[in-house]
Amino acid sequence: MMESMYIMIYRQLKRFIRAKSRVVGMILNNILWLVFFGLGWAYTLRGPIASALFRGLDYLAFLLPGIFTTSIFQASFMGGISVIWDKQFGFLKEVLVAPTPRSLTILGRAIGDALVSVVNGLIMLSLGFMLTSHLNPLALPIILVIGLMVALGFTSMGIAIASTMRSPEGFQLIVGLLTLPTTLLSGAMFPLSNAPYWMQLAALVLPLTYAVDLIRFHLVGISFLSSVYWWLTPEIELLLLVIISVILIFIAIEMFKRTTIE
Amino acid sequence: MDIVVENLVKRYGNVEAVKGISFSVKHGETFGFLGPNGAGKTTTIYILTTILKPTSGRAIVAGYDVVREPHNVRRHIGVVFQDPSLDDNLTGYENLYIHGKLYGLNNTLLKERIAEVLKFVELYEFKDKCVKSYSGGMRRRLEIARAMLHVPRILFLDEPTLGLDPQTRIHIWDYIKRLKDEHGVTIFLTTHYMEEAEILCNRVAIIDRGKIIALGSPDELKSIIGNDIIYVRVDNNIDVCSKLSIDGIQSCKTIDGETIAIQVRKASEAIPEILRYLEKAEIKVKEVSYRRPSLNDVFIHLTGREIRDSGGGFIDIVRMRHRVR
Ligand SMILES: Nc1ncnc2c1ncn2[C@@H]1O[C@H](COP(=O)(O)OP(=O)(O)OP(=O)(O)O)[C@@H](O)[C@H]1O
Ligand SMILES: [Mg+2]
Repeated sequence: MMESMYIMIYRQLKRFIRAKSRVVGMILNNILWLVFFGLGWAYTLRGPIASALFRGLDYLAFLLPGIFTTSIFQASFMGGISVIWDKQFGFLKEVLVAPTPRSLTILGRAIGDALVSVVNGLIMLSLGFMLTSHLNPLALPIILVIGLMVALGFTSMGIAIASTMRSPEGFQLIVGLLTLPTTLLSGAMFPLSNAPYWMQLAALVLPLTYAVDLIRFHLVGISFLSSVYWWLTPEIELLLLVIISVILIFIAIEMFKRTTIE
Repeated sequence: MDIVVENLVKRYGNVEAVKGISFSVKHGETFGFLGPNGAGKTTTIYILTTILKPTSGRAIVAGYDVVREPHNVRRHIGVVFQDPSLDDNLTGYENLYIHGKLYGLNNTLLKERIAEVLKFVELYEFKDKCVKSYSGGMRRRLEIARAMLHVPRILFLDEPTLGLDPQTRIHIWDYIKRLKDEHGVTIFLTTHYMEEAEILCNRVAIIDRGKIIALGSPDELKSIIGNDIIYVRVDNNIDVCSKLSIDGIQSCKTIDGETIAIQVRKASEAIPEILRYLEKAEIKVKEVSYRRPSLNDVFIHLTGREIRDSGGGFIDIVRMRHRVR
Protein backbone atom coordinates (compact mmCIF):
# COMPACT_ATOMS: atom_id res chain seq x y z
CA MET A 1 0.00 0.00 0.00
CA MET A 2 2.60 2.53 1.11
CA GLU A 3 4.48 1.57 -2.02
CA SER A 4 2.12 3.69 -4.06
CA MET A 5 3.04 6.70 -1.92
CA TYR A 6 6.77 6.06 -2.26
CA ILE A 7 6.48 5.62 -5.98
CA MET A 8 4.76 8.97 -6.36
CA ILE A 9 7.55 10.62 -4.38
CA TYR A 10 9.99 8.89 -6.70
CA ARG A 11 8.11 10.14 -9.73
CA GLN A 12 8.04 13.77 -8.60
CA LEU A 13 11.76 13.69 -7.81
CA LYS A 14 12.58 11.99 -11.11
CA ARG A 15 10.62 14.59 -13.02
CA PHE A 16 12.41 17.36 -11.18
CA ILE A 17 15.84 15.94 -11.93
CA ARG A 18 14.86 15.30 -15.56
CA ALA A 19 13.85 18.93 -16.04
CA LYS A 20 17.41 20.19 -16.21
CA SER A 21 16.67 23.61 -17.61
CA ARG A 22 14.15 24.21 -14.85
CA VAL A 23 16.63 23.24 -12.16
CA VAL A 24 19.36 25.45 -13.57
CA GLY A 25 16.92 28.32 -14.01
CA MET A 26 15.79 27.99 -10.42
CA ILE A 27 19.33 28.05 -9.05
CA LEU A 28 20.30 31.03 -11.19
CA ASN A 29 17.20 32.90 -10.13
CA ASN A 30 18.05 32.30 -6.48
CA ILE A 31 21.61 33.49 -6.91
CA LEU A 32 20.54 36.64 -8.72
CA TRP A 33 18.08 37.49 -5.99
CA LEU A 34 20.50 36.94 -3.23
CA VAL A 35 23.37 38.82 -4.80
CA PHE A 36 21.61 41.81 -6.31
CA PHE A 37 18.82 42.30 -3.84
CA GLY A 38 20.56 40.98 -0.73
CA LEU A 39 24.02 42.43 -1.18
CA GLY A 40 22.60 45.67 -2.55
CA TRP A 41 20.56 46.32 0.55
CA ALA A 42 23.19 44.94 2.87
CA TYR A 43 25.60 47.63 1.71
CA THR A 44 22.91 50.29 1.87
CA LEU A 45 21.64 49.44 5.34
CA ARG A 46 24.71 49.97 7.43
CA GLY A 47 25.38 52.10 10.46
CA PRO A 48 23.83 52.43 13.91
CA ILE A 49 20.20 52.93 12.78
CA ALA A 50 20.20 49.81 10.66
CA SER A 51 21.93 47.91 13.41
CA ALA A 52 19.19 48.88 15.86
CA LEU A 53 16.55 47.98 13.30
CA PHE A 54 17.96 44.52 12.71
CA ARG A 55 18.94 44.00 16.34
CA GLY A 56 22.63 43.83 15.69
CA LEU A 57 22.34 41.64 12.61
CA ASP A 58 23.63 42.67 9.23
CA TYR A 59 20.93 42.83 6.59
CA LEU A 60 22.06 39.64 4.83
CA ALA A 61 21.75 37.66 8.02
CA PHE A 62 18.29 39.11 8.49
CA LEU A 63 17.26 38.43 4.90
CA LEU A 64 18.64 34.94 4.35
CA PRO A 65 16.32 32.97 6.66
CA GLY A 66 13.44 34.94 5.17
CA ILE A 67 14.40 34.23 1.57
CA PHE A 68 14.99 30.57 2.41
CA THR A 69 11.44 30.35 3.72
CA THR A 70 9.72 32.37 1.02
CA SER A 71 11.51 30.47 -1.74
CA ILE A 72 10.17 27.25 -0.26
CA PHE A 73 6.74 28.80 -0.07
CA GLN A 74 6.78 29.97 -3.68
CA ALA A 75 8.13 26.74 -5.13
CA SER A 76 5.69 24.62 -3.09
CA PHE A 77 2.62 26.64 -3.88
CA MET A 78 3.43 26.74 -7.58
CA GLY A 79 4.14 22.99 -7.44
CA GLY A 80 0.40 22.34 -7.40
CA ILE A 81 0.43 23.10 -11.09
CA SER A 82 1.77 19.61 -11.74
CA VAL A 83 -1.73 18.31 -10.93
CA ILE A 84 -3.06 20.41 -13.80
CA TRP A 85 -0.30 19.29 -16.17
CA ASP A 86 -1.19 15.72 -15.29
CA LYS A 87 -4.82 16.43 -16.12
CA GLN A 88 -3.84 17.94 -19.44
CA PHE A 89 -1.28 15.32 -20.41
CA GLY A 90 -3.46 12.48 -19.22
CA PHE A 91 -1.24 10.91 -16.56
CA LEU A 92 -3.89 11.73 -13.96
CA LYS A 93 -6.15 9.03 -15.46
CA GLU A 94 -3.41 6.46 -14.97
CA VAL A 95 -3.35 7.36 -11.28
CA LEU A 96 -7.13 7.52 -10.89
CA VAL A 97 -7.69 4.07 -12.38
CA ALA A 98 -5.00 2.39 -10.25
CA PRO A 99 -6.22 0.16 -7.40
CA THR A 100 -4.65 2.25 -4.68
CA PRO A 101 -6.11 4.86 -2.31
CA ARG A 102 -6.02 8.33 -3.79
CA SER A 103 -5.05 9.73 -0.42
CA LEU A 104 -1.73 7.88 -0.69
CA THR A 105 -0.94 8.88 -4.25
CA ILE A 106 -1.67 12.52 -3.52
CA LEU A 107 0.31 12.43 -0.28
CA GLY A 108 3.24 10.97 -2.18
CA ARG A 109 2.98 13.70 -4.75
CA ALA A 110 2.86 16.37 -2.04
CA ILE A 111 5.89 14.95 -0.24
CA GLY A 112 7.83 14.68 -3.50
CA ASP A 113 7.09 18.26 -4.47
CA ALA A 114 7.79 19.46 -0.94
CA LEU A 115 11.23 17.82 -1.01
CA VAL A 116 11.94 19.52 -4.31
CA SER A 117 11.15 22.95 -2.93
CA VAL A 118 13.20 22.35 0.21
CA VAL A 119 16.17 21.43 -1.97
CA ASN A 120 15.55 24.67 -3.83
CA GLY A 121 15.68 26.58 -0.55
CA LEU A 122 18.80 24.75 0.56
CA ILE A 123 20.72 25.82 -2.52
CA MET A 124 19.97 29.39 -1.64
CA LEU A 125 20.90 28.86 1.97
CA SER A 126 24.25 27.26 1.19
CA LEU A 127 25.06 30.37 -0.77
CA GLY A 128 24.07 32.39 2.27
CA PHE A 129 26.51 30.52 4.48
CA MET A 130 29.25 31.78 2.19
CA LEU A 131 28.08 35.37 2.34
CA THR A 132 27.55 35.84 6.06
CA SER A 133 28.92 34.28 9.20
CA HIS A 134 25.88 34.97 11.36
CA LEU A 135 23.98 31.83 10.40
CA ASN A 136 24.09 28.95 12.83
CA PRO A 137 24.98 25.74 10.96
CA LEU A 138 23.83 23.61 13.91
CA ALA A 139 20.28 24.73 13.22
CA LEU A 140 20.26 23.01 9.83
CA PRO A 141 18.49 19.81 10.91
CA ILE A 142 15.69 21.64 12.69
CA ILE A 143 15.11 24.17 9.94
CA LEU A 144 15.01 21.34 7.39
CA VAL A 145 12.20 19.76 9.34
CA ILE A 146 10.39 23.07 9.66
CA GLY A 147 11.03 23.83 5.99
CA LEU A 148 9.63 20.46 4.97
CA MET A 149 6.51 21.08 7.00
CA VAL A 150 6.03 24.51 5.51
CA ALA A 151 6.58 23.01 2.06
CA LEU A 152 4.06 20.23 2.70
CA GLY A 153 1.45 22.72 3.82
CA PHE A 154 1.83 25.03 0.86
CA THR A 155 2.17 22.19 -1.66
CA SER A 156 -1.11 20.88 -0.31
CA MET A 157 -2.66 24.30 -0.69
CA GLY A 158 -1.48 24.35 -4.31
CA ILE A 159 -2.82 20.84 -4.93
CA ALA A 160 -6.16 21.67 -3.36
CA ILE A 161 -6.61 24.70 -5.61
CA ALA A 162 -5.27 22.91 -8.68
CA SER A 163 -7.66 20.01 -8.15
CA THR A 164 -10.59 22.29 -8.87
CA MET A 165 -9.09 23.84 -12.00
CA ARG A 166 -8.68 22.82 -15.62
CA SER A 167 -6.26 25.33 -17.04
CA PRO A 168 -2.72 26.15 -15.92
CA GLU A 169 -3.35 29.82 -16.75
CA GLY A 170 -6.13 30.09 -14.18
CA PHE A 171 -3.95 28.47 -11.57
CA GLN A 172 -0.99 30.71 -12.34
CA LEU A 173 -3.24 33.73 -11.98
CA ILE A 174 -4.36 32.68 -8.52
CA VAL A 175 -0.85 31.77 -7.43
CA GLY A 176 0.45 35.08 -8.72
CA LEU A 177 -2.24 37.00 -6.89
CA LEU A 178 -1.57 35.26 -3.58
CA THR A 179 2.20 34.88 -3.75
CA LEU A 180 3.27 38.49 -3.99
CA PRO A 181 1.39 39.94 -1.00
CA THR A 182 2.11 36.86 1.11
CA THR A 183 5.82 37.14 0.39
CA LEU A 184 6.00 40.87 0.97
CA LEU A 185 3.98 40.71 4.18
CA SER A 186 5.88 37.75 5.60
CA GLY A 187 8.55 39.86 7.25
CA ALA A 188 11.21 38.21 5.13
CA MET A 189 12.59 41.45 3.68
CA PHE A 190 11.83 44.02 6.33
CA PRO A 191 10.89 43.83 10.00
CA LEU A 192 7.16 44.12 10.47
CA SER A 193 7.41 46.03 13.74
CA ASN A 194 7.59 49.45 12.04
CA ALA A 195 4.91 48.72 9.43
CA PRO A 196 1.41 50.28 9.77
CA TYR A 197 -0.77 48.46 12.25
CA TRP A 198 -3.26 47.16 9.64
CA MET A 199 -0.38 45.68 7.70
CA GLN A 200 0.88 43.91 10.78
CA LEU A 201 -2.59 42.46 11.33
CA ALA A 202 -2.75 41.25 7.74
CA ALA A 203 0.68 39.68 8.14
CA LEU A 204 -0.39 37.82 11.27
CA VAL A 205 -3.20 36.16 9.35
CA LEU A 206 -0.70 34.59 6.94
CA PRO A 207 1.00 31.40 8.12
CA LEU A 208 4.12 32.24 6.11
CA THR A 209 4.84 35.05 8.58
CA TYR A 210 5.24 32.56 11.44
CA ALA A 211 7.38 30.31 9.31
CA VAL A 212 9.78 33.13 8.43
CA ASP A 213 10.08 34.22 12.04
CA LEU A 214 10.53 30.68 13.32
CA ILE A 215 13.23 29.82 10.83
CA ARG A 216 14.97 33.12 11.49
CA PHE A 217 14.86 32.35 15.19
CA HIS A 218 16.67 29.07 14.63
CA LEU A 219 19.19 30.37 12.13
CA VAL A 220 20.22 33.65 13.75
CA GLY A 221 18.77 33.36 17.23
CA ILE A 222 16.31 36.28 17.15
CA SER A 223 12.53 36.11 16.93
CA PHE A 224 11.30 39.49 15.71
CA LEU A 225 7.65 38.67 16.25
CA SER A 226 7.83 37.57 19.86
CA SER A 227 9.40 40.89 20.83
CA VAL A 228 6.28 42.69 19.56
CA TYR A 229 3.68 40.07 20.42
CA TRP A 230 4.77 38.38 23.60
CA TRP A 231 2.47 35.41 23.06
CA LEU A 232 4.03 34.53 19.68
CA THR A 233 6.86 32.45 21.05
CA PRO A 234 8.74 30.08 18.73
CA GLU A 235 6.88 27.18 20.35
CA ILE A 236 3.50 28.70 19.58
CA GLU A 237 4.63 29.47 16.05
CA LEU A 238 5.68 25.87 15.54
CA LEU A 239 2.39 24.62 16.90
CA LEU A 240 0.42 26.94 14.63
CA LEU A 241 2.44 25.86 11.62
CA VAL A 242 1.95 22.17 12.31
CA ILE A 243 -1.78 22.63 12.76
CA ILE A 244 -2.12 24.69 9.59
CA SER A 245 -0.04 22.27 7.52
CA VAL A 246 -2.00 19.26 8.72
CA ILE A 247 -5.27 20.99 7.91
CA LEU A 248 -4.02 21.92 4.45
CA ILE A 249 -2.90 18.35 3.79
CA PHE A 250 -6.35 17.05 4.70
CA ILE A 251 -8.03 19.61 2.50
CA ALA A 252 -5.74 18.64 -0.39
CA ILE A 253 -6.58 14.95 0.05
CA GLU A 254 -10.30 15.66 0.11
CA MET A 255 -10.15 17.95 -2.91
CA PHE A 256 -8.04 15.49 -4.86
CA LYS A 257 -10.44 12.64 -4.09
CA ARG A 258 -13.14 14.74 -5.66
CA THR A 259 -11.39 15.61 -8.89
CA THR A 260 -13.02 13.93 -11.83
CA ILE A 261 -12.15 13.74 -15.46
CA GLU A 262 -15.44 15.41 -16.41
CA MET B 1 -19.72 -12.94 -17.48
CA ASP B 2 -16.91 -10.43 -17.19
CA ILE B 3 -18.96 -7.33 -17.96
CA VAL B 4 -22.67 -6.84 -17.41
CA VAL B 5 -24.26 -3.49 -18.21
CA GLU B 6 -27.91 -2.69 -17.59
CA ASN B 7 -29.69 0.47 -18.69
CA LEU B 8 -26.63 2.61 -18.31
CA VAL B 9 -27.28 6.34 -18.61
CA LYS B 10 -24.82 9.22 -18.45
CA ARG B 11 -25.83 12.84 -18.65
CA TYR B 12 -23.35 15.73 -18.79
CA GLY B 13 -25.46 18.74 -17.82
CA ASN B 14 -28.27 18.46 -20.31
CA VAL B 15 -26.31 16.45 -22.87
CA GLU B 16 -27.27 12.80 -22.67
CA ALA B 17 -24.12 11.04 -23.84
CA VAL B 18 -25.24 7.48 -23.04
CA LYS B 19 -28.94 6.77 -23.26
CA GLY B 20 -29.65 3.52 -21.48
CA ILE B 21 -27.46 0.82 -22.96
CA SER B 22 -27.40 -2.84 -21.96
CA PHE B 23 -25.04 -5.62 -22.98
CA SER B 24 -22.76 -8.25 -21.51
CA VAL B 25 -19.35 -9.61 -22.33
CA LYS B 26 -18.29 -13.20 -21.72
CA HIS B 27 -14.95 -14.22 -20.28
CA GLY B 28 -12.28 -14.45 -22.97
CA GLU B 29 -14.40 -12.65 -25.51
CA THR B 30 -13.34 -9.64 -27.55
CA PHE B 31 -16.22 -7.23 -27.60
CA GLY B 32 -16.28 -4.08 -29.68
CA PHE B 33 -18.12 -0.79 -29.57
CA LEU B 34 -18.30 0.54 -33.10
CA GLY B 35 -19.63 4.03 -33.58
CA PRO B 36 -18.98 7.49 -35.00
CA ASN B 37 -17.55 10.49 -33.12
CA GLY B 38 -19.61 11.49 -30.13
CA ALA B 39 -21.47 8.18 -29.97
CA GLY B 40 -20.69 7.75 -26.28
CA LYS B 41 -17.90 5.18 -26.53
CA THR B 42 -15.38 6.95 -24.33
CA THR B 43 -18.04 7.88 -21.80
CA THR B 44 -18.95 4.19 -21.50
CA ILE B 45 -15.29 3.22 -21.02
CA TYR B 46 -14.87 5.88 -18.32
CA ILE B 47 -17.84 4.46 -16.44
CA LEU B 48 -16.73 0.84 -16.81
CA THR B 49 -13.23 1.74 -15.63
CA THR B 50 -14.67 3.52 -12.55
CA ILE B 51 -13.40 7.02 -13.22
CA LEU B 52 -16.81 8.46 -14.05
CA LYS B 53 -20.06 7.95 -12.17
CA PRO B 54 -23.07 6.94 -14.25
CA THR B 55 -26.25 9.00 -13.93
CA SER B 56 -28.29 5.83 -13.60
CA GLY B 57 -28.19 2.15 -14.47
CA ARG B 58 -25.79 -0.53 -13.40
CA ALA B 59 -22.44 -1.87 -14.53
CA ILE B 60 -20.73 -4.97 -13.16
CA VAL B 61 -17.12 -5.49 -14.15
CA ALA B 62 -15.17 -8.60 -13.10
CA GLY B 63 -18.05 -9.36 -10.74
CA TYR B 64 -18.00 -6.00 -8.93
CA ASP B 65 -20.27 -3.00 -9.16
CA VAL B 66 -18.34 -0.07 -10.64
CA VAL B 67 -19.98 2.46 -8.33
CA ARG B 68 -20.06 0.54 -5.08
CA GLU B 69 -16.80 -1.41 -5.33
CA PRO B 70 -14.56 0.58 -7.65
CA HIS B 71 -11.45 -0.56 -5.84
CA ASN B 72 -12.12 -4.22 -6.62
CA VAL B 73 -12.92 -3.42 -10.23
CA ARG B 74 -9.64 -1.54 -10.58
CA ARG B 75 -7.65 -4.55 -9.42
CA HIS B 76 -8.88 -6.63 -12.34
CA ILE B 77 -8.72 -4.26 -15.27
CA GLY B 78 -6.11 -2.74 -17.56
CA VAL B 79 -6.96 0.37 -19.52
CA VAL B 80 -5.63 2.10 -22.61
CA PHE B 81 -7.40 5.43 -22.77
CA GLN B 82 -8.21 7.21 -26.00
CA ASP B 83 -6.03 10.19 -25.09
CA PRO B 84 -2.40 9.63 -24.15
CA SER B 85 -1.80 8.99 -20.46
CA LEU B 86 1.94 8.40 -20.26
CA ASP B 87 4.41 10.57 -18.39
CA ASP B 88 6.38 12.14 -21.23
CA ASN B 89 9.25 13.22 -19.02
CA LEU B 90 10.05 9.69 -17.91
CA THR B 91 11.46 6.77 -19.86
CA GLY B 92 9.41 3.85 -21.08
CA TYR B 93 10.88 1.71 -18.32
CA GLU B 94 10.09 4.26 -15.62
CA ASN B 95 6.51 4.54 -16.80
CA LEU B 96 6.09 0.80 -16.46
CA TYR B 97 7.93 0.70 -13.13
CA ILE B 98 5.62 3.31 -11.62
CA HIS B 99 2.60 1.49 -12.96
CA GLY B 100 3.75 -1.79 -11.46
CA LYS B 101 4.28 -0.18 -8.07
CA LEU B 102 0.86 1.46 -8.17
CA TYR B 103 -0.56 -2.02 -8.78
CA GLY B 104 1.40 -3.50 -5.90
CA LEU B 105 3.79 -5.78 -7.82
CA ASN B 106 6.91 -6.73 -5.92
CA ASN B 107 10.32 -5.84 -7.33
CA THR B 108 11.48 -9.20 -8.70
CA LEU B 109 8.20 -9.98 -10.36
CA LEU B 110 7.91 -6.42 -11.63
CA LYS B 111 11.31 -6.47 -13.34
CA GLU B 112 10.48 -9.74 -15.05
CA ARG B 113 7.10 -8.50 -16.18
CA ILE B 114 8.50 -5.22 -17.50
CA ALA B 115 11.04 -7.06 -19.65
CA GLU B 116 8.32 -9.44 -20.81
CA VAL B 117 5.78 -6.83 -21.85
CA LEU B 118 8.41 -4.57 -23.42
CA LYS B 119 9.57 -7.46 -25.57
CA PHE B 120 5.99 -8.31 -26.40
CA VAL B 121 5.42 -4.88 -27.93
CA GLU B 122 8.97 -4.75 -29.31
CA LEU B 123 10.07 -1.72 -27.33
CA TYR B 124 12.76 -3.36 -25.24
CA GLU B 125 15.63 -1.52 -26.96
CA PHE B 126 13.91 1.78 -26.34
CA LYS B 127 13.19 1.23 -22.68
CA ASP B 128 15.64 3.86 -21.43
CA LYS B 129 14.59 6.53 -23.88
CA CYS B 130 12.37 9.36 -22.74
CA VAL B 131 8.76 8.86 -23.87
CA LYS B 132 8.98 12.35 -25.38
CA SER B 133 11.14 10.89 -28.13
CA TYR B 134 8.68 8.06 -28.94
CA SER B 135 6.52 8.09 -32.08
CA GLY B 136 2.74 7.88 -31.82
CA GLY B 137 2.79 4.16 -32.56
CA MET B 138 5.48 3.50 -29.96
CA ARG B 139 3.52 5.39 -27.32
CA ARG B 140 0.42 3.35 -28.10
CA ARG B 141 2.41 0.13 -27.84
CA LEU B 142 3.88 1.24 -24.54
CA GLU B 143 0.40 1.98 -23.25
CA ILE B 144 -0.76 -1.48 -24.26
CA ALA B 145 2.29 -2.97 -22.55
CA ARG B 146 1.53 -0.95 -19.44
CA ALA B 147 -2.10 -2.02 -19.37
CA MET B 148 -0.95 -5.66 -19.55
CA LEU B 149 1.80 -5.36 -16.97
CA HIS B 150 -0.28 -6.42 -13.97
CA VAL B 151 -1.97 -9.26 -15.90
CA PRO B 152 -5.51 -7.88 -15.83
CA ARG B 153 -8.49 -10.11 -16.38
CA ILE B 154 -10.19 -7.52 -18.57
CA LEU B 155 -8.51 -5.11 -20.94
CA PHE B 156 -10.20 -1.89 -22.05
CA LEU B 157 -8.91 -0.30 -25.24
CA ASP B 158 -10.40 3.03 -26.28
CA GLU B 159 -9.71 3.50 -30.00
CA PRO B 160 -6.39 1.65 -29.82
CA THR B 161 -5.26 2.58 -33.34
CA LEU B 162 -6.74 6.05 -33.72
CA GLY B 163 -4.51 8.29 -35.78
CA LEU B 164 -1.89 5.66 -36.56
CA ASP B 165 -0.65 4.79 -40.01
CA PRO B 166 -1.95 1.58 -41.62
CA GLN B 167 1.23 -0.42 -40.98
CA THR B 168 1.35 0.43 -37.29
CA ARG B 169 -2.35 -0.31 -37.08
CA ILE B 170 -1.88 -3.82 -38.45
CA HIS B 171 0.98 -4.29 -35.98
CA ILE B 172 -1.21 -3.34 -33.05
CA TRP B 173 -4.03 -5.56 -34.26
CA ASP B 174 -1.52 -8.36 -34.16
CA TYR B 175 -0.68 -7.68 -30.49
CA ILE B 176 -4.33 -7.51 -29.58
CA LYS B 177 -5.04 -10.82 -31.32
CA ARG B 178 -2.14 -12.43 -29.51
CA LEU B 179 -3.32 -11.09 -26.16
CA LYS B 180 -6.61 -12.74 -26.79
CA ASP B 181 -5.31 -16.02 -28.23
CA GLU B 182 -2.26 -16.59 -26.04
CA HIS B 183 -3.34 -14.96 -22.80
CA GLY B 184 -7.11 -15.39 -22.91
CA VAL B 185 -7.76 -11.82 -21.84
CA THR B 186 -11.29 -10.47 -22.10
CA ILE B 187 -11.11 -7.39 -24.29
CA PHE B 188 -13.51 -4.49 -24.54
CA LEU B 189 -12.53 -2.13 -27.31
CA THR B 190 -14.05 0.85 -29.01
CA THR B 191 -13.37 1.95 -32.53
CA HIS B 192 -14.80 3.79 -35.43
CA TYR B 193 -12.84 1.74 -37.93
CA MET B 194 -15.20 -0.96 -39.08
CA GLU B 195 -12.40 -3.24 -40.27
CA GLU B 196 -10.88 -3.07 -36.80
CA ALA B 197 -14.13 -4.28 -35.29
CA GLU B 198 -14.44 -6.92 -37.98
CA ILE B 199 -10.94 -8.31 -37.61
CA LEU B 200 -10.66 -8.28 -33.83
CA CYS B 201 -14.10 -8.74 -32.34
CA ASN B 202 -16.17 -11.80 -31.59
CA ARG B 203 -19.15 -9.55 -31.12
CA VAL B 204 -19.77 -5.95 -31.99
CA ALA B 205 -22.28 -3.43 -30.68
CA ILE B 206 -22.97 -0.63 -33.10
CA ILE B 207 -23.51 2.50 -31.05
CA ASP B 208 -24.85 5.78 -32.31
CA ARG B 209 -25.86 8.87 -30.35
CA GLY B 210 -25.70 7.05 -27.04
CA LYS B 211 -27.76 4.04 -28.11
CA ILE B 212 -26.86 0.54 -29.17
CA ILE B 213 -28.60 0.09 -32.52
CA ALA B 214 -27.36 -3.40 -33.36
CA LEU B 215 -25.44 -6.14 -31.60
CA GLY B 216 -24.01 -9.42 -32.80
CA SER B 217 -21.03 -11.10 -34.43
CA PRO B 218 -19.71 -9.27 -37.50
CA ASP B 219 -21.29 -11.95 -39.71
CA GLU B 220 -24.62 -11.68 -37.97
CA LEU B 221 -24.58 -7.92 -38.36
CA LYS B 222 -23.74 -8.13 -42.02
CA SER B 223 -26.51 -10.58 -42.61
CA ILE B 224 -28.90 -7.79 -41.62
CA ILE B 225 -28.39 -6.37 -45.08
CA GLY B 226 -27.75 -9.59 -46.94
CA ASN B 227 -24.89 -11.48 -48.44
CA ASP B 228 -22.18 -11.03 -51.05
CA ILE B 229 -23.09 -9.47 -54.35
CA ILE B 230 -21.37 -10.51 -57.59
CA TYR B 231 -21.39 -8.14 -60.53
CA VAL B 232 -20.91 -9.69 -63.97
CA ARG B 233 -20.58 -7.57 -67.08
CA VAL B 234 -21.46 -9.52 -70.19
CA ASP B 235 -20.97 -8.81 -73.83
CA ASN B 236 -24.44 -8.01 -75.00
CA ASN B 237 -27.93 -7.60 -73.80
CA ILE B 238 -28.98 -11.10 -73.12
CA ASP B 239 -31.18 -12.09 -70.26
CA VAL B 240 -28.60 -14.03 -68.30
CA CYS B 241 -30.65 -14.26 -65.15
CA SER B 242 -33.32 -16.43 -66.65
CA LYS B 243 -30.67 -18.85 -67.87
CA LEU B 244 -28.62 -19.00 -64.72
CA SER B 245 -29.62 -21.85 -62.49
CA ILE B 246 -26.98 -22.62 -59.89
CA ASP B 247 -27.47 -23.66 -56.29
CA GLY B 248 -26.98 -20.95 -53.71
CA ILE B 249 -28.01 -18.01 -55.81
CA GLN B 250 -30.39 -15.92 -53.77
CA SER B 251 -31.33 -13.32 -56.29
CA CYS B 252 -30.29 -12.13 -59.70
CA LYS B 253 -31.15 -8.96 -61.48
CA THR B 254 -29.94 -6.98 -64.45
CA ILE B 255 -28.75 -3.53 -63.31
CA ASP B 256 -28.12 -1.81 -66.58
CA GLY B 257 -28.15 -3.47 -69.93
CA GLU B 258 -24.80 -5.22 -69.53
CA THR B 259 -24.31 -5.78 -65.83
CA ILE B 260 -26.08 -8.29 -63.73
CA ALA B 261 -26.01 -8.44 -59.94
CA ILE B 262 -26.14 -11.83 -58.31
CA GLN B 263 -26.62 -12.23 -54.60
CA VAL B 264 -24.94 -15.30 -53.10
CA ARG B 265 -23.91 -16.53 -49.69
CA LYS B 266 -20.23 -16.76 -50.51
CA ALA B 267 -18.87 -15.03 -53.58
CA SER B 268 -15.51 -16.79 -53.62
CA GLU B 269 -17.23 -20.15 -54.07
CA ALA B 270 -19.94 -18.99 -56.41
CA ILE B 271 -17.80 -17.08 -58.92
CA PRO B 272 -16.01 -20.06 -60.50
CA GLU B 273 -19.28 -21.87 -60.89
CA ILE B 274 -20.98 -18.93 -62.47
CA LEU B 275 -18.10 -18.42 -64.87
CA ARG B 276 -18.09 -22.06 -65.86
CA TYR B 277 -21.80 -21.92 -66.44
CA LEU B 278 -21.59 -18.80 -68.58
CA GLU B 279 -18.76 -20.21 -70.61
CA LYS B 280 -20.79 -23.30 -71.31
CA ALA B 281 -23.68 -21.12 -72.35
CA GLU B 282 -21.28 -19.28 -74.64
CA ILE B 283 -21.94 -15.94 -73.06
CA LYS B 284 -18.89 -13.69 -73.19
CA VAL B 285 -17.84 -12.21 -69.84
CA LYS B 286 -16.03 -8.86 -69.83
CA GLU B 287 -15.57 -8.20 -66.15
CA VAL B 288 -16.39 -9.78 -62.82
CA SER B 289 -16.31 -8.08 -59.45
CA TYR B 290 -17.91 -8.70 -56.13
CA ARG B 291 -18.75 -6.73 -53.08
CA ARG B 292 -18.93 -8.01 -49.57
CA PRO B 293 -21.15 -5.93 -47.32
CA SER B 294 -19.12 -4.26 -44.57
CA LEU B 295 -20.14 -3.10 -41.15
CA ASN B 296 -20.13 0.34 -42.71
CA ASP B 297 -22.96 -0.78 -44.99
CA VAL B 298 -24.76 -2.05 -41.91
CA PHE B 299 -24.29 1.32 -40.26
CA ILE B 300 -25.55 3.15 -43.33
CA HIS B 301 -28.47 0.78 -43.54
CA LEU B 302 -29.40 1.40 -39.90
CA THR B 303 -28.80 5.15 -39.65
CA GLY B 304 -28.66 6.52 -43.16
CA ARG B 305 -25.24 8.01 -42.38
CA GLU B 306 -21.65 6.85 -42.72
CA ILE B 307 -19.21 6.15 -39.95
CA ARG B 308 -16.46 8.61 -40.77
CA ASP B 309 -13.63 6.37 -41.81
CA SER B 310 -10.46 8.24 -42.50
CA GLY B 311 -8.03 5.38 -42.41
CA GLY B 312 -8.17 1.78 -43.30
CA GLY B 313 -7.31 0.59 -46.72
CA PHE B 314 -9.55 -2.40 -46.25
CA ILE B 315 -10.49 -3.71 -49.63
CA ASP B 316 -14.17 -4.34 -49.63
CA ILE B 317 -14.45 -4.43 -53.35
CA VAL B 318 -12.28 -7.01 -54.97
CA ARG B 319 -12.01 -6.69 -58.68
CA MET B 320 -11.14 -9.61 -60.80
CA ARG B 321 -10.66 -9.30 -64.49
CA HIS B 322 -11.59 -12.26 -66.43
CA ARG B 323 -10.04 -12.18 -69.85
CA VAL B 324 -12.01 -13.84 -72.50
CA ARG B 325 -10.01 -15.83 -74.95
N1 LIG C 1 -17.07 16.36 -20.10
C1 LIG C 1 -18.10 16.49 -20.95
N2 LIG C 1 -18.98 17.49 -20.79
C2 LIG C 1 -20.03 17.63 -21.64
N3 LIG C 1 -20.29 16.82 -22.67
C3 LIG C 1 -19.43 15.81 -22.88
C4 LIG C 1 -18.30 15.59 -22.05
N4 LIG C 1 -17.64 14.51 -22.50
C5 LIG C 1 -18.32 14.08 -23.58
N5 LIG C 1 -19.38 14.85 -23.81
C6 LIG C 1 -20.37 14.66 -24.90
O1 LIG C 1 -20.89 13.36 -24.79
C7 LIG C 1 -21.05 12.77 -26.07
C8 LIG C 1 -20.30 11.46 -26.12
O2 LIG C 1 -18.92 11.69 -26.01
P1 LIG C 1 -17.85 10.51 -26.01
O3 LIG C 1 -16.53 11.13 -25.82
O4 LIG C 1 -18.28 9.47 -25.08
O5 LIG C 1 -17.97 9.98 -27.51
P2 LIG C 1 -17.06 8.97 -28.31
O6 LIG C 1 -17.96 7.94 -28.87
O7 LIG C 1 -15.95 8.50 -27.47
O8 LIG C 1 -16.52 9.88 -29.49
P3 LIG C 1 -15.08 9.92 -30.19
O9 LIG C 1 -15.12 8.95 -31.31
O10 LIG C 1 -15.01 11.33 -30.69
O11 LIG C 1 -14.06 9.63 -29.18
C9 LIG C 1 -20.54 13.80 -27.07
O12 LIG C 1 -21.67 14.47 -27.59
C10 LIG C 1 -19.72 14.74 -26.26
O13 LIG C 1 -19.78 16.03 -26.78
MG1 LIG D 1 -13.96 8.54 -27.64
